[in-house]
Amino acid sequence: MKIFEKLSLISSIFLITFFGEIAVNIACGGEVDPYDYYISYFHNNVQGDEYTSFAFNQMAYLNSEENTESESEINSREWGKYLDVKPQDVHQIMYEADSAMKAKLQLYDGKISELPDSLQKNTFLQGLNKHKSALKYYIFAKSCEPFANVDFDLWNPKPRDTAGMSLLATEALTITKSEKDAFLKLRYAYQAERMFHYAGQHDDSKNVFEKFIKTDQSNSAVKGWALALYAGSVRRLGNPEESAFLFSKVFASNPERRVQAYKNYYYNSAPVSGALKYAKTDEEKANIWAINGFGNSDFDIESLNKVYQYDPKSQLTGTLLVREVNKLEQALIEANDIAKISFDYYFSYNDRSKSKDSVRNVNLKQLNEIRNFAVKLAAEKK
Amino acid sequence: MRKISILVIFVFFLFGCKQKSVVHPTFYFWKTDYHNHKAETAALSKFKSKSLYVRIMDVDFNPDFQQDVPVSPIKFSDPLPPQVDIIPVVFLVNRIFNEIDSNRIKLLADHIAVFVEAKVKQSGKSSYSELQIDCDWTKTSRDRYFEFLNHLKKHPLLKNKTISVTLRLHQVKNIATSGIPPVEKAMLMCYNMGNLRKYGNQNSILDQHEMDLYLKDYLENYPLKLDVALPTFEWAVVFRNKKYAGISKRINKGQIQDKKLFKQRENSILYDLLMDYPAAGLKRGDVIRWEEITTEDLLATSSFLSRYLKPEERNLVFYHLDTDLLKHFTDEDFRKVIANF
Repeated sequence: MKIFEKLSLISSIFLITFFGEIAVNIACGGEVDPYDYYISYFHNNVQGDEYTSFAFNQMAYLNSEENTESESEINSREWGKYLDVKPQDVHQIMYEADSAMKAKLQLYDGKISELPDSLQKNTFLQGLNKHKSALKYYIFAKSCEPFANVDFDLWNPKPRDTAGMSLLATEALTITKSEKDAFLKLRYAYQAERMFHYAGQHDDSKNVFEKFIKTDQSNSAVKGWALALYAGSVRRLGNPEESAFLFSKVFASNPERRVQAYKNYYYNSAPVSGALKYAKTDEEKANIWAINGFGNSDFDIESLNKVYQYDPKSQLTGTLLVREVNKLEQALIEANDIAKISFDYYFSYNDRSKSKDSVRNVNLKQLNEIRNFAVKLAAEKK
Repeated sequence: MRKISILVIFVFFLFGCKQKSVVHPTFYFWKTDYHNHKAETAALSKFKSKSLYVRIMDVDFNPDFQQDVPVSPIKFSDPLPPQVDIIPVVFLVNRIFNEIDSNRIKLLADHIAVFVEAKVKQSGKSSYSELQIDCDWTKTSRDRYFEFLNHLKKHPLLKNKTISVTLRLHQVKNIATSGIPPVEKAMLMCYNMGNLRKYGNQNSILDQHEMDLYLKDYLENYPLKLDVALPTFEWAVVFRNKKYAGISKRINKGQIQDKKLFKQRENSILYDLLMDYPAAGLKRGDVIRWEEITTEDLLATSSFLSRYLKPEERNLVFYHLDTDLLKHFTDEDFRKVIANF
């Protein structure tokens, strides 16, 4: 083959592949990126990261589905402190075990010498070895796990084993009553509440909470998780307003469950006044108003004012204020042709020009109110 | 002469009486939680029902998951009575066949076969002999629905099992557009035939006029073996400003007959609400159409049907098995209706 033919063959293949790839990218590519597809000059998390999930985002229901704290790490820390071992070791065994490790651990009954070298060095397992009642709880909790963590598959015809869960719940309740160690007592009670809850025995589940968990003096995070289950049972038993209030408490107390609590608050579809009926302290009221504000994608100075009134020092005020600023950006910044590539690019409202001025006036009025609020905030320095 | 008289008598016999069909009366069970209620089980024994049609689930397309999903599958809190076999029924929302490709059809058939098998086991039965698919298919969904039925027939879990489908009146009449489903037999659904949403005095559950219109000239020629389903249920259809507003489950016959609450229009099944009734979410001036089925209705329907149905062995299924609905009919009523076929 002549050099010319070879070269032309190579170059044409190159051209076809090169432009073909671009064509494929254009055809199949590019979903709207909710963090990049609109103009904003004001970062939606300038107030700090604690409530980042609820920062304003023009395109997503929540700015982030991630909680700011990790439940597994909190639990590992509590266990680490209790057994005086390294939290990382707890995390490794409880949450990071692969199937091979799980199989080994399933047979673990305190005889640490039978485990592989890598596990023998783990301080959590050593701690359990020394602390037999903790080991007993650990094994019990593991036996509850398959009932609680079920893969979500609608086409799985197997009903949940409510009888099995009910048995475990009763067993946990019996141990709770006799257990002296406060740390373990709380956890057994939590397992009992949880198993009753999933088995659909909501009255029993509530009783366990009221009797053993509500009265617990510690500040363990388990109490918050238990409260979330309790709130769920309250809803199932037909009191959405109280349930919404209880979820607002979980929202405030447990950052690792904040997104879950927030969503559950809204599943209740209770009006804000309904949840407020149960709130006693100013802080509780502020939280309910904050959740209410986070769920509102329209201008909402009322929630902002209420939160500031009830709990002026809270970071919630800042988060809500930044949300309002971001909303104003959405309303007032006119997309020019270069940036106009989001929603407006595809769907332009034809009749917009008619009402343009009045809409603009409303937006500007809101701008003024927000500015006044911000000035007040700065002046009062609470 | 004697020969002729024998011939005459023979001919007389031939035309004088039509062959009687053998009917096996039973029920649909259409609730989502099976409890063995005494009255319901007693009804099954009285009828000597060999089988019970049990709704297993609905299947609908879920846009969030982008797939077809089971909707409120049944739960068996008690096992079915030992003498009664199960005939599982799966209701498919017609819209799933509007945009479905053959891969999804296969997957759907597979999912349903596995799910039904498991639910039958949960009902306390080791197996079943008939699976019924309930779908109000139309001209546009027809081909894909039939393809689905063919896949289902070929499924290993359904080997040696009968597949039946439900048949609406319009599918009997418009045989050219609706087609004939590729199965052995069908269940003629003699209810929900009228226009539910239209304001007026008609009974949308059972309407002889509609039956005449859709069945009279067509039923005899329908090529599949037919079972028959008859209604025994009742409901309150709500109209607000003469517009259909829904079916209220919170209105029962007792309230309808309460003179303080409702005023019946003359010779009509329409009732005017005299005051606001927040317990049922109703407002003054709303109109309720109370649709119910009487023994006379059922007798008229069964006479009509027996005239046009081919004489053969068939199941006669009442919709649906419910302790309260059973109270509306005496055993004698049921017996008359059954004997009418």
